[in-house]
Amino acid sequence: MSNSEEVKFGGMDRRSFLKALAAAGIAATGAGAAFMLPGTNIMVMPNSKGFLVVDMGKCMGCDTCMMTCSLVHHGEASLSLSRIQIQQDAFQSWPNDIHMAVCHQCEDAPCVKACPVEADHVDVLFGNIRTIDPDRCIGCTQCIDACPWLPKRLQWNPETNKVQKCDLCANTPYLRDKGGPGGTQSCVKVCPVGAIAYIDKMPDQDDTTAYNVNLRNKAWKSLGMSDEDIKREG
Amino acid sequence: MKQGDAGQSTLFLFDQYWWIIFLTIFLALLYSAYTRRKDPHCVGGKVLRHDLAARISHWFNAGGILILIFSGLGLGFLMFPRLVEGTEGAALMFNLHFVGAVLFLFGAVYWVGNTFLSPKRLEEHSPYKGSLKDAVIHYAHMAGLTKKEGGLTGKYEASERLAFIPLTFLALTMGLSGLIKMSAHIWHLPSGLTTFATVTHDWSTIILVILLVFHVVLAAVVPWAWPLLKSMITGWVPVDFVRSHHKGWYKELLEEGVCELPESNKQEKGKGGDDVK
Repeated sequence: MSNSEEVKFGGMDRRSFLKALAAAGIAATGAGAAFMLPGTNIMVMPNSKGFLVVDMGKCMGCDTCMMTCSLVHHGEASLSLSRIQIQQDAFQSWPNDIHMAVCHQCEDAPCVKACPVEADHVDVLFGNIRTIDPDRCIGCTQCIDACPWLPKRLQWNPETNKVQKCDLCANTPYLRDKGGPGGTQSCVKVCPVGAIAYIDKMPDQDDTTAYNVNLRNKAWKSLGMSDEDIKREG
Repeated sequence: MKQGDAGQSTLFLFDQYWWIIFLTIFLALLYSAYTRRKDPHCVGGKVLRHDLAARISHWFNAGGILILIFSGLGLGFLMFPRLVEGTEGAALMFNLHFVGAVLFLFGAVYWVGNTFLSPKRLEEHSPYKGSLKDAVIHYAHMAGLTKKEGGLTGKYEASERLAFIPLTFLALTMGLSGLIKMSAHIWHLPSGLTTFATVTHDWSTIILVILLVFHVVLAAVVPWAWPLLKSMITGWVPVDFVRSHHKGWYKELLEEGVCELPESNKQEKGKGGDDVK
């Protein structure tokens, strides 16, 4: 028999210390495991603290938001590098002639769940935004495929061969203001007609039209344009 | 499988059951806290060299390390795109790595717990002043290059005690870097930290594989080690073997009174003979 019981560690015998340490560790591990949702492969996603909503009936398709998005993120004004996407269809009439696609910062983001290397993640340091770490992204495009919306709210960056997505301007080396939730969103700031807005209340995740809101006011109507609500998905 | 589905539907144990790794660590500690070790003693011509706790610790480590090396090398080959046919192969190797990590961590942490309770066992394993010289003389003697035998061999040979330091360091390095790598499945760690952990993990593996080859050859393949291999399974080693190959340890057992001199030696001692030869 060893003489372990005679050896003290911090005022208590070593065996008691080990038991206490192990019990505390098991309790902490149990609490951590309980924090996971059953049946999912990641931890509970905290909701994003910011969201972009748009008014497709107000947008006039100038693409200023796209150019600015690319500029503040990459230092060059390129439609191919924009994270917000404005699609125009000359064969449709108002309000179906323009479609604005912004990332929804989904509650249970499928793109985050699909990422095999945790590059697409919830950034707790920047208001829980769903964003992609370019250093980790391996360009597998599974996040793009997992996005339930069309057009996809994640874009292939042909210059870096990685995926990018809207981060509410959290990581914008070419933006003078502080971005991210609670800060400046460059697309909101530059839109000449105010067709994009930043809100901190999560839109209804079960309503596919919830991110398309009416941002028109009386002044808009006084110009002779419609202020009727538009129900469009996306 | 449709592209995009793999990340959501494939079972990755490191992602879904990461908590088992931490649970294993603390269960091993708890088990060690309730373990009562048996010190070496003689029974019917045999000496208890490895009690049950030592054997559990060793074989959990051995099994875990073998699975870790096999699955780790498998994962390495999956870094060549032409060898990748689907996500299932990567999932299988990752999940095997998970099983290996659980076994290895249980064995390693159980050993740490036991050693924490019995610090004197650490002294048995640690190198002493002159270990290197004794190890060189020992193997030179075994190879017939010298008639000198070096100092009296204790429970563990000088070379085993020398190997203890790098093996423990490697196990610690691999365990910690592995935990960092696994934590990246739970938390978002800085990419620099995960890169450092990956490089450390990989190089530790290469060095460990080399040392493991030496360990297996010297502890299991060469004939003179067969009694020790058997003792790692049964726990017992013949007294005669201890008397001839571990004279220092045999002397200690006699001095502690847990073993008795054989009748022939007692008679010789009565005539003034030496009890340890």
